[in-house]
Parts: sequence; structure tokens; C-alpha cells
Amino acid sequence: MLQHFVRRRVKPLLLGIDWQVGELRIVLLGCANNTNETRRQRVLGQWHLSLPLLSVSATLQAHSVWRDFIAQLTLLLGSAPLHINVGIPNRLCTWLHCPADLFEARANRVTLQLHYQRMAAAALNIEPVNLRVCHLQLSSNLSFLVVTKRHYGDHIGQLMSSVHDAVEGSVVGCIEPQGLTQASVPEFLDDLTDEYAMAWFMANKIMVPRC
Amino acid sequence: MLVWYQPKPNEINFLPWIEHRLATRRRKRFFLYGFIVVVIVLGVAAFGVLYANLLRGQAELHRQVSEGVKQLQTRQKRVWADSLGRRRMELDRVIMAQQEFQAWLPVRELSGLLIILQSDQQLGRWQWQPIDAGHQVVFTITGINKWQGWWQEALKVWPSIQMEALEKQGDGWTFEASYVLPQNPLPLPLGSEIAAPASQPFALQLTPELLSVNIGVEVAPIAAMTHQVVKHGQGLEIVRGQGVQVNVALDSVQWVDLAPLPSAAGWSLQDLSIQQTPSGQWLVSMQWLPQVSTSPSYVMTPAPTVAVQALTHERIQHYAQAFQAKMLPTQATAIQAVVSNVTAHHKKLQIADDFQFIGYSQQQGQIPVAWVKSIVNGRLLRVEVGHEIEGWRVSAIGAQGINLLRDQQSIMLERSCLTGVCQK
Repeated sequence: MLQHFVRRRVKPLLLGIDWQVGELRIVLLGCANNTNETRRQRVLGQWHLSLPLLSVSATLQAHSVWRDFIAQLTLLLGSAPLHINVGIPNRLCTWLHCPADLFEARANRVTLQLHYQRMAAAALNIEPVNLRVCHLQLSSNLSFLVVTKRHYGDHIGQLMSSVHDAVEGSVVGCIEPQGLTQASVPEFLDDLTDEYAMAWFMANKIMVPRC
Repeated sequence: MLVWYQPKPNEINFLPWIEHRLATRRRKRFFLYGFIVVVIVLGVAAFGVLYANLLRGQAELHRQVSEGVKQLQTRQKRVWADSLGRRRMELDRVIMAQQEFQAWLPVRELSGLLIILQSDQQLGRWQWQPIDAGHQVVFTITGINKWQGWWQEALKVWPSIQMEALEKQGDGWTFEASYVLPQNPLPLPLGSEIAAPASQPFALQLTPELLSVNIGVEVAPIAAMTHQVVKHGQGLEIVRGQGVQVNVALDSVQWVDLAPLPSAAGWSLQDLSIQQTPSGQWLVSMQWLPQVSTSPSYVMTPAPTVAVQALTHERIQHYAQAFQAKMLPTQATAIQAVVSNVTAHHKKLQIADDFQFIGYSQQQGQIPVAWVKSIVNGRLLRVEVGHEIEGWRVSAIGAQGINLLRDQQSIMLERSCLTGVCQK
């Protein structure tokens, strides 16, 4: 228990992934050692992996590229917790308009999620079990159902699970669409190229305590 | 720990965060349930252990108390066994004191009556009988002068005295009175011999059990009592039946020897009757019966002191001496004796002529009563056994008449045959 509280005081590291199905650009951010430094963030690592989309049944442990990445990541992490944010291309997602007040307000979140799943499946003519649906409430009367195929999420989930199995600290994961965002690397991160801008952007979207 | 980020309403996370959240909640809920179950099981187990310890402690406590009681009882019995001789002596002393008290009590009452008799008065009959409320004393006194003064004195001595009959006799009077002597004053209990209640589990018997006293018809007490009355010499008659009946005639010089009365353990005096004859003798009749009570009276009755005993003797002796002085001169006594012998037969015939047997009655549980009519004055007398008629004592009452005794003479007043049916 004491060890758990001690770990909570360690600042988490942020891992942003620009997932382009077969191409992965990864940026690992951490807090700067010098507190007087104006740039609080520090790029601990950047990777460009070519990792084809495997079937769900295939094991990632056998993939040497991913195994090497995990080995490097583990050395950098130590016992610090890790927050992972994966951005997937907008072309893999479908945005459906969701009418307001469609369901009763008393329905709980699980029931609403089921309704959203069925609604999206009906709209896309796909089995609900093969979809992952998120309800995006932009305003009080404007909301969307953002839909992607299930096997994308399962694949990325496997990546995160394998990272979690290897590292010592805890892992918090998130997958969100990149949308139409155009990201660029700030000037003070001169060691990052523009190809890693989206990965850096996904890492910065993570809501964690500031350094 | 691997968790999926829960998005805000304006955020997206395609990871199965809601399933993960539900699983986390389910896991927490199961953990809580398990924790509660473990706590309950541990609580029940702790309570069971505590209860078992309580039961074991209670059993141990009972066992220790029982052993303690046994040890105490053993110690008490040993202590009581050590003090058995002393307690036996104390009990014997109590019984002896009670016997002595009972032996002196009737005679003390008699002496109290004798000492207040005036010179012109004499005792006729005195009877002592135990009743439920105590003892009843019935006595008859004859006198010449006014009786009221003496009655006032008697009232001071016995406030409960009642006059039963007052009759004229010759130149004087005779009256019969009775009073009840209440039970003995509140006795002093012997603290160490108080009877204990029935023994209960874990109850300590704080006093030893009562000592057994051999009470009943035994030869030794009767022999002792007989030995005590043998001193009275001639005229002694001892009748053994259900109880012991002793009849004795005492001269005036022997009256003082009446105190104390014979006594024996386990026997109680049921009747004491003294009849004073004109010739100066006391016809004493004593009857003892075995005590019904099988448990001894564990009360300390103070025996009369030597001073009280001496006072009793002195009073009786004073009355005897006064009576002897009154019976002088001796010539007159001798002449009267000769005349009495000569005229005995005449008196015998005279009383048979003066009185007539009228009737007889006996009811269930009551003594027989007879009615005798005086031919001289026509007065109707109601008599019982022991009453006197003209100096004759009624000895028996039956349907055919009454039997009178006087100086070893006997006469029968028979029923008159008015119709001739009862002709012999």
C-alpha cells in the first residue's frame, strides 16, 4: 500500500501514437529535470514502427519490432505510470448525427451505449458486435455518434496490453480519432521532425497533472 | 494496473472503457462483498470462540465453586465433628434445664397459691393440666371469713383468674377458681443450634444438623422417675399403662418433698391433682405421658435458681407448719380420729341418705357429668370425677350411679327406682 502511494507521486510519462494502420509514429514525453526550465516537457523518445495490422488471434509478442520497442520503453519508464493516447485516422471513423432527446434521460450509461451501438449498426448495416461507438456531445442539442470497426480497437488494445504486461507501473489507455486536425511541432522541440507532430499532439491531449 | 480512460462528454475513446469501468466496479463490488463476508465470518468465528471460552469459563467456574463447596462442607463437617461432644453437652444441659424447669413449675405455682392463703383458709383441691395455650390450674379453697379480700389479692397475682363456683359450706365458704398460665416466657434461642434450611446446590449449610435425642417410651426414664417417687414411702401406687400414673398420699411434713416433681426425658406431665383431706394429707395424683414431639426443643429454658427453689420449699413448708398448728391440739385430733373411725359408718350412711343420684350425661369427647340432688335443701349439684361432696370425692360416674371415696371408704349413690323397673 505504501509503495502504491509512493508511485502515485511519480509523474506519469505520456506516450502519443499516430496510428496509421501499418505505420506507427510514437513520441514519449516526460517532465524536464530542471524546474527552472521554461520548457517543462522533455521528449524522452520517438519511434517509427512498421507494424502491419494482424488478426486478433495473432500474438504481438512474436513480433520483433514491437518487442524491441517495449524493451526500450521499459528502460525509459522505470516504475513511472504511463498514459497512452492513440490517434487513428479520420478515414477509419464514421460520424453519425445523433438526434437530441432521443432516449429517456433516466436511462443509464450502459443502456444508452447499447442504444447507440444498435443505432449505428442500423445506420451502417453492420452487426453491432463489430462496431465501437462513442457518443460525442458537442453542445446541448448537437451530438454525434463516432463509429469505427471493432478490430481496430481490439488491435490497439492488444498493443497496450502487451505494453502493460512489460512495464512495471500502471497504464492508462485511450483511442480517439484524429479528425481533421493538422498538427505541427513547436520550435523548442527541435529534436522532433514534422512526421511526429501528430504523435506529439496526441501525447499532449492527455489530461494529466501538469509538470 | 491497466485501465481505459473514461472520456468526458466531448471526448472520444474507442477502447472498451465502459466495459472496463463496469468490470472494475464489479471487481470492487465483489471485493467489498468478499470483504464483508470475510468480516462476518471472522466475526462469527470470533463470537463462537468467545462463546466457547465463556462456556468453558462458566463450566470451570461451576467446577471450582462446586469443589469449593465440597471443601467447605468437608471442613464444616470436620469442625462440627470436633464440636460434637461440646454440642452434645450443651444439648444435655438444655434438656436438663428444661426438665428441671418443668419439674419446678407446677410446684412453684402451688406454693404461690399456698403462701397467699390466709390463716382461716385451706386448700381443698389443686389441679394442673397442660392445654394448648399453656397450663390450666384449677383449685378449690375453703375458708371462714370474707373471701373478697383474698380474691383481690389473688387477682393481683393471676390477672386471668376466674371464679368457677362459690358455695356455702358449713360456717364458711368454698370456691373453685381457675386460671391459665401462659406458655413459658420467650426462650432464648441457642444460636449455634438453629435448624438450617434444606440444603440446596451451592448452598452452604451454616449450622450443623440437629442432634438426635432419644425420645420415647424407655425403661430407663421410667425407672428413674419411679426411683424419684419411692421416697414418698407408704401409700405409693404406680400404674403403668400408656403412660405412668403415680398416686401417693403425703402427710403435711412430706408436702415440701413434693418439689421438685419427678421428671424424665421424653415424658411430660399431663395431670397433677392434689386433694387435701381434712385429716391433713395430700392425695397426690400425677400422670406422665410420652412426648409426642420427636424433635427436641432447642431453646434454652432457664432453670429455676437456688433462691427460687428455696423460696418454693419455704412457702410450702410455711403452709404445712401453719396447717399443723391449726390441727393442734392433738387430743382433739385423736378424739376426732376415734370419732371419725366410729362414725365413719354413720357418715357413710348419712351421705347416702342426704344425696340422691338424679341423672348422668356423657357426650362424645367430653367427660361424664352427673347430677346429684341434696335431700336436705333440695339443691341440684353438677359433679364430675374429682369433685367433692361433703368431703367425699367422686371417683367414678356411670349410668347406674356415682362412686364416692373418702379415707379409703367407698360408697355408691345408685339410681333411684321410681317405677320399679330397675329392681335387682
